[in-house]
Amino acid sequence: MRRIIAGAAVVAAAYGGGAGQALAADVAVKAVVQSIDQLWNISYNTEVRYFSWQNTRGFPTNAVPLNGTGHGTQLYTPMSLSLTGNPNPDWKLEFVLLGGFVSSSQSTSGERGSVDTPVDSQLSGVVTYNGFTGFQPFVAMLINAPTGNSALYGNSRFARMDGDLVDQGTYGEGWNFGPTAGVNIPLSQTLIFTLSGGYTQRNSFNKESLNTVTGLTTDTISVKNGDEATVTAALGYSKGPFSLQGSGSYSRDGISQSGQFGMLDYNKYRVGPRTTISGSASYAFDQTWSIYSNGFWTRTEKNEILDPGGLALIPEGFNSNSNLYRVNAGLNYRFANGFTVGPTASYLHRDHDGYDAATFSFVPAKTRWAAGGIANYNVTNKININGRVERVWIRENENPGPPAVAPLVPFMSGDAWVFAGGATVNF
Amino acid sequence: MSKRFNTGLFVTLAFGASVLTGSMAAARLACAPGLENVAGTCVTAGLAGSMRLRSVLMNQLKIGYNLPIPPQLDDTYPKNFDVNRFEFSQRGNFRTRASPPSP
Repeated sequence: MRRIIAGAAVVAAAYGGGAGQALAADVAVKAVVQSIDQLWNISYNTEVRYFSWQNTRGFPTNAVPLNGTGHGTQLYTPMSLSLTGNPNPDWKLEFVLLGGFVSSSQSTSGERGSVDTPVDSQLSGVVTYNGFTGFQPFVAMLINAPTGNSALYGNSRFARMDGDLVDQGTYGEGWNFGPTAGVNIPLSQTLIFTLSGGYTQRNSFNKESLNTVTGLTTDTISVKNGDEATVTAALGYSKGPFSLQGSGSYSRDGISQSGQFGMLDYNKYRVGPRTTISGSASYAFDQTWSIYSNGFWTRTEKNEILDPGGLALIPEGFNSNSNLYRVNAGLNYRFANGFTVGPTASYLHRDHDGYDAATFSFVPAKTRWAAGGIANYNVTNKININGRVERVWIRENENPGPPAVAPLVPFMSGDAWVFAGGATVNF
Repeated sequence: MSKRFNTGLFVTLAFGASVLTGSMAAARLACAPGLENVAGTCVTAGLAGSMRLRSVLMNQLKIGYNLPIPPQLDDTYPKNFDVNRFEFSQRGNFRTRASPPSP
C-alpha cells in the first residue's frame, strides 16, 4: 500500500524522522552569552518546529480510518539552557537543562485526539578533570524529570504519533537517572581512546489503560521499564582536515514490569542485549569543499518473554529483534562570503520483521532513503541562518500481525518532502 | 538487581578507582594554536570533548525520549535507539510501533 504522508520534520529529519510526504518548518534562535570573566559560557537555545503529516491509515497503523486518510499536526517548542565553565585549569564543568512544550493533534477519522503539554525535562551535568598525566577522567549524570504527560486518557491517546514523522512520539515517562564514568586517554597528538560505563535507572510512571467494565480508556496502570547498563569503547582521530571517530557499545537491560493482577511489579519481559557500532568521518579538501559521513549498526539479541503460564520469563524461540543500519552523508561548498550549500543523503534499513512480545504483533522490515540539500549563511559574525530541504522515500513490508489474521497491515511505501529553516544568534 | 547489572556497575566503579589511583602529576603545558592540553598531551582541539559527548550519549540511550543535549540543527546523533519504547501499551492505546524511531 502506498503511503502518502504530508508532514514536517526538522532536526528529526537528520535522524531519519520522516516518512511519507512531509513538509517542515523550523525556526531556531540560539543565544550565547559569554560572561565577563571568560570562565563561564551561558547558552540559551529555543526553536519552533511545526509538523504536518498525512497517510492512508493514520496512527497507529493497525486501525483503518473510518473514512478518508490519516493526518495530524504537531507544534513543538524545545528549549535548552547550558552552562559551561572552567573554574580552574584542571576542571571543566558542563550543565544542560532541556525542556519544552508540545501541542499535537491527530484528526484521522476514528482516531481523533489531541494533547497540549510540557514535555519531560532533562538535566545533565558532566565534570571533567584534567589534572592527571596520561588520562582525563570524567563523570556525568543525566536525569529525566517527568514534567510531561505520560497518561493520555480517552481519545487523547491518539495524539501519540509515529516518531519517524514528528519529533515527539510520546509525552512523558518517569524519573530516570543515568550516571556515566569514563576516561579519555590521549595516545598521540591526533588520537584519543575513550572507555566508559553507564547505568540508566528507569523508574515507574503511570499510563492510561482500558476499563474492562466500561470499555473506556479511563483507568491507570503503573509501568516500569527495565534498567540498562552499558559499556562503551571509542577511538577518535583528528589531524588537519581529516577527522574520524568510531565507537562500540554493549548494553544489557533489566526486567520490565507493570502493575497487573494485583501486583505493582509483575514481570513482563526483558529486552535482549544490544550491540551498537557507530562511526563518523569528515574531510575538508580546501577552504571551500568538505565532505562528511556518519552511521551506525545496532543489533539486539533475543528477548526473554513470559512462558505460556505467565509466571516466568523464558528466552523467546527466535530472535524477534532486527539489525538496524543507517548511513548519512553530505558535501559542503562554502562561498567566499560565508554562504554554504551542499547535498545530503541517508539510508536506513531494518532487516526483518520484529516481534513485539508485549503486544503479540510485529513491526515490519523497513527501508528508507533520503536525499536533499542544506544551506547556511552567516548574516553577521553573530547571526547565522540555515535551511534544509529533503526528499524521503520509504518502504515497509507488510505487518503480519497475529497468526491467521495476516496481513494485519499490508505492504506500504511512501515518500516525503522535508523543509527546515532556522537561525542562530550569538551575543 | 541481577548479576549482569552488578557487572556493569563494577566496570563503572573500576573506571573511577583507576582514576583515583592513577598518576597525580598535573601536567601543565602550553599548546600551539589548534591544540589543547589533554592529560599532559597536546591534542587536536575539540577532539576530547567530542569523544566525551559520544561516550556519554552511547551509555544513556534510554535516559528518556529526549537526550539532554541542546538541540542542534547539524547534530545527527541518534535521539534514541529504543525500539521498545512503548512496551506495556494497553489495548486501545498506541500499541505497535509500525515505524520504530529511526535512531
